[in-house]
Order: sequence, then structure tokens, then C-alpha cells
Amino acid sequence: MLSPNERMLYAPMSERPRVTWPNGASVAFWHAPNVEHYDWLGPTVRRPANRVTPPDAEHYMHRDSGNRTAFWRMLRSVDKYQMPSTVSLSLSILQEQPEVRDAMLERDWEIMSHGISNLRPLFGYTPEQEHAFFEISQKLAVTYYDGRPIKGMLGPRISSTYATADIMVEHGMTYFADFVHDEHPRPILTESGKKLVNVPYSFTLNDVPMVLAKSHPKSYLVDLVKAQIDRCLRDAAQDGQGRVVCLATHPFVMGQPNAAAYLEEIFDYVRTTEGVWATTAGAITDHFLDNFYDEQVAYARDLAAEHAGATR
Amino acid sequence: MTIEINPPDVTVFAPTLPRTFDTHRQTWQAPAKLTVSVLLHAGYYLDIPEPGQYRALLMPGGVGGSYSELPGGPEAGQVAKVSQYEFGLTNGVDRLLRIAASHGVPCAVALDAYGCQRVPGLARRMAETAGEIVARGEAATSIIDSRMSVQDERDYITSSLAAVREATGADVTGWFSPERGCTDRTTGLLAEAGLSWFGDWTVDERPVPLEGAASGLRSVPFSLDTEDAFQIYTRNGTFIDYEQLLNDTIDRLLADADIVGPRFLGLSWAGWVLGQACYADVADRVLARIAADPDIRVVLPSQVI
Repeated sequence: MLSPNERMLYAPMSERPRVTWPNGASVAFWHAPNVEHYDWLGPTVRRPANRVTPPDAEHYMHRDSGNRTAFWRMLRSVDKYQMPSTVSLSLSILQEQPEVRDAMLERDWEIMSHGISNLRPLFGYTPEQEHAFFEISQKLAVTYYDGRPIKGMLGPRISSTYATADIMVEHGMTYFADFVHDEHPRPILTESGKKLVNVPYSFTLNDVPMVLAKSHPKSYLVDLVKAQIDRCLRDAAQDGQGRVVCLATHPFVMGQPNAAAYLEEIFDYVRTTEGVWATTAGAITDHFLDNFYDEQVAYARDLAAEHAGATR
Repeated sequence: MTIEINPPDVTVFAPTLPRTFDTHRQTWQAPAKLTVSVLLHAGYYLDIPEPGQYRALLMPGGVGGSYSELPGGPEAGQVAKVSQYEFGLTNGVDRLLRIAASHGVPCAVALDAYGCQRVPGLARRMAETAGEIVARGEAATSIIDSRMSVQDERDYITSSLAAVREATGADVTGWFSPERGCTDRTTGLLAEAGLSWFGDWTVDERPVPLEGAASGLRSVPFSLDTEDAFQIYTRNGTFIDYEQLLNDTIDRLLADADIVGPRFLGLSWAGWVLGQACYADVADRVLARIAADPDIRVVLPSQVI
């Protein structure tokens, strides 16, 4: 079985063939709101936070307020800027919180699986359990989301097994966002050879690690996004390589009343900066698969063969 | 009279390191008030250690969520962290090298054995671009540990060094231990391996020739306090604070040089940290400032004597 190290088919940005975006854009920007559900009492030994013996009301209510109020405030900002969004979704919400589901569907949000619940990580799953997990995931989407199957996943709590990439492609998925090793989509190798790519997600342009965990002010997320887009645009102008920038948000953080102005400042920057293609993870994946995947794999294979020859 | 204060099983001071103090020693002779060296790290991160390898219990990076995994949490499948370090090899280190070159600043790049052997073209590309290649042990996740036997440690050093030399064709004279891992013996073994300098003892503001078993080896101290991973990840600082910290450091070292003689500043930057697009402008602006200041000279670490 391939390890995560082996799945990342190496080729450096500085030497690989170019990847470009539609209409001459230099940066593909995708907004990934994480709309999550945390069980009141999760499976055995799983705690929402390493704090009190479950139930942890402080944690649960904070997260649940994200879906009751903050999500709707975030939607108002999304609507104002017509920001395409790829929702990293706890899929239980499709069945159990129809109001939230319908609001996303009305806006044509793309669903990226984020597991069933964010207290049910995939660590330790057997292949049979993972197959069942993906089968239920697709069934939830097809049943409750206009018959649309899910194209990709960000593992619940960024969890996976060594078999996850191999199993998700068997269930029709084409992208896996847990890998953050590039500013391009990159091929993720699978045992079957079925095509899978990573779409660069971010643990830096992400409100949970930056604002909630590290306690930076929400304005700092604005600084980070602007700095990331600016540098990517300048680098693209120099080397001709399109780049991907992801903003990961969570309603219980950037949907708070004190955060709305900063979120809108980011959206405004994205919408008013020339050369930025605001899109979805699925659209980035499709564009890459249709135009660049085969060439990139061939290049990386040649590089690996050359390396093997040199080190033999 | 010496009052007995130390239990017999305690080693009070680091072996082979002379104890000298800034106002009680001869001034370091250097041709500029401030000498700066830039060392870029391109370490390889393994999801699961291989048999016989040791790794640090805590390493910067990862998801960085609002809670830690429970004790006994998953050891494998840490895709976020594996891929985060890999970013340094695909994008980050090249971006930093490009920025440094635009300011005419020479850089050393620290490579490990795994990166040289497993990452196609990395060693060749770095050998072509970097001013100096430094050996960085076996892997970011395989460190020197006090549980090693002396022979295991000697083998770790010699095999890592051989791998980096063979892959790059470079005359490697410097070393940086991943996670600054070491034993009582490490400096002696580095000297025995023929290395002339190492960068991971963050002990001074000038190079320090070592003594005893490590005679012939000098410490070129790459400061922890100005290291990107330490300030931005371990200490959770912002990139804005980090840039201010670097500029404050440079300002004060230049001023101090008039009092205590020339100073050295080793900038230790990781491809996966400062090479991220949102952080890279810090390197750009700081290196521009350094390159433009006539009181600052920039040299490769092997040239810091």
C-alpha cells in the first residue's frame, strides 16, 4: 500500500510544465467554508476538545451556534460578493439540518465531504468500514442534494488511513484536499491508477488555526490572504505558473458578528483584484484533469526515472 | 574553596563548548559590523519512522487546530504534516532561493539523506542553485538521540554525509542536526567526520571554535530567536511581528558592534515556513535591507571564521 509520502508524485514548481487558468487568470481562488456538526456525545473516547468529560457543552454550543446564526450571517457576505463556495460539509447536515442544506443548494454550493460528523475521524477504519463510509457519503449527497455526487473530500478532522485515497476513487471522487504540498493541483497516486488530485487547501489561510487556536485577530486573516494573493500574482507574472489560493473559514469563527467586516474585506479584495479566478475546488480539479494531469504525470515519471538512473 | 552543589550524575555544561563571555574576551575580527548568513532548510518528513530511527516528540506544523489529539492518537496518516513539509521541497525552498538571488544574497541549503535519495532532482537542483550545501542528517523525522550507541551515531553522521555529498557532488563541510538533536558525543563525531562547522548550537553572536574532542569544529550559531519555524509556528507569532523582530535584531546588533565588536546573525529559514506565499515577502524585504546596508556583509556559513 502506498504511504502518503509515496502518493505525492514529486516535481518542483520551478521546473514542471506550466499550469494555467481560464481567461488568463493567474490565481484560482476557492472559498471553503467548513460547515460542521459535532456530536453531543461522540463515539467512544472521541472528545471535541481535550477539556472536560463529554458532553462538552461549551464546545458543542460554540460549534452549533455556527449553524444556527453565524452560518446565515456568513451567507449574507457570500451573497453580497457572489462568492463561489465549496462547502467542507459534515454530511449529516444534509439529512438532519435541511434549512442549512437548502440554503447551500439555492446558492449552488459545491459539496466537499468533510465526513459524516467532525467527531468521527477515519483513523483506524478498516477498508470495509471506509467503503461503507464513502457509500453512505455519496448516498446522502445523491438523496438530499439534487442528485449530485460528491467529487472530493477533506477528511473529518483531517483524518485518513493509508487506504483512503485508493477507496475514495472507487466511489467516484476525483480530489482529496488533505494534501497541502503545492500551489498547484497535483496528481495523488492510487493503487488502481484511477486519477485523483489534491486541490491545495490551507492550514495557514484558515480561521481555526490562525484565529481560534493561535489567537490572532481576525484582521490578521485579511493580512494573510492579501499577502498570499499578492505574492502568487507576482510569482505567476514571473514564471507563468498559475497558482491556487484557498481560504478556509468556519461559521463559528468568521461568521461571528465581530468577524463579518473582515470576511467581507477579504471577499472584496478577491473580487476587485485583477487576475483572480474565484471558483470551486471541483472546477479547479476538472480543469486540471482535462488539460494538465497527463502531462504532469509524464513529466514527474521522467524525472523519477532520471533520478533512479542517477542513483542506481 | 568549591562548594559541592552538583549531583554526580549531572553534566552541568555542554561538552566541548568553551565558556566565554562577551565583555571578557577578545573582539571577534570581522570586516563588517554585522555578518549575516542565510541557511535554508529542505528537510524530508516521513509519516512513519523506519526501524531504528528516532524522532522528536513535538515538531512544528500540522493542522494546528484548537485542540490536541488525545494521548495515543494516530501515529500514521498525518497527511497534513507530511504534505506541509513536502511543500518546502516542491515550492518553498525554490521561492526563497529566487528571492535571495534577486538581492544578490548567497544562501546555503541544508539537505538530508532521504531528500537526496527519494526526491527526484532535489539534490541536483539545489547543488546548481545554492551557494553551499549543508548536511542535515538523515531526515527531518530521523534525529540523533541519546539512546543511540556511539557506533550508531557515527554511522548516522557518516552515511548522511555520504548521501548528501554523493547526490550533490558538493564539498560539504557543514552540518545542521534535524531538530538540533544531539548527544554528548555529537560534536566530537562531527569533527571526526572531517566537518569544519555546524549550525545548530544557537549559543553566541559570533563563531565559536570548539575544544577537546571537537577541536577543529566551530559552531556557526543560527539563532533560534530569529528562526521562522520557531517564531511563526512554535511561538505562534504573526509574520508582521516576525519581520519587526528581524529588523529590531539587525538594528541592535549593528549598534552593539560599536560596543562589543562585530556580530554574527545566522538566519535559519525553512522552505515550508517562510517559503509560503503569504510569508515570503518578509524574506524579500529583510534581504533587500541587508543587501543594501554597507555595514552588513553576507557570506556563506562556511566562510564565517
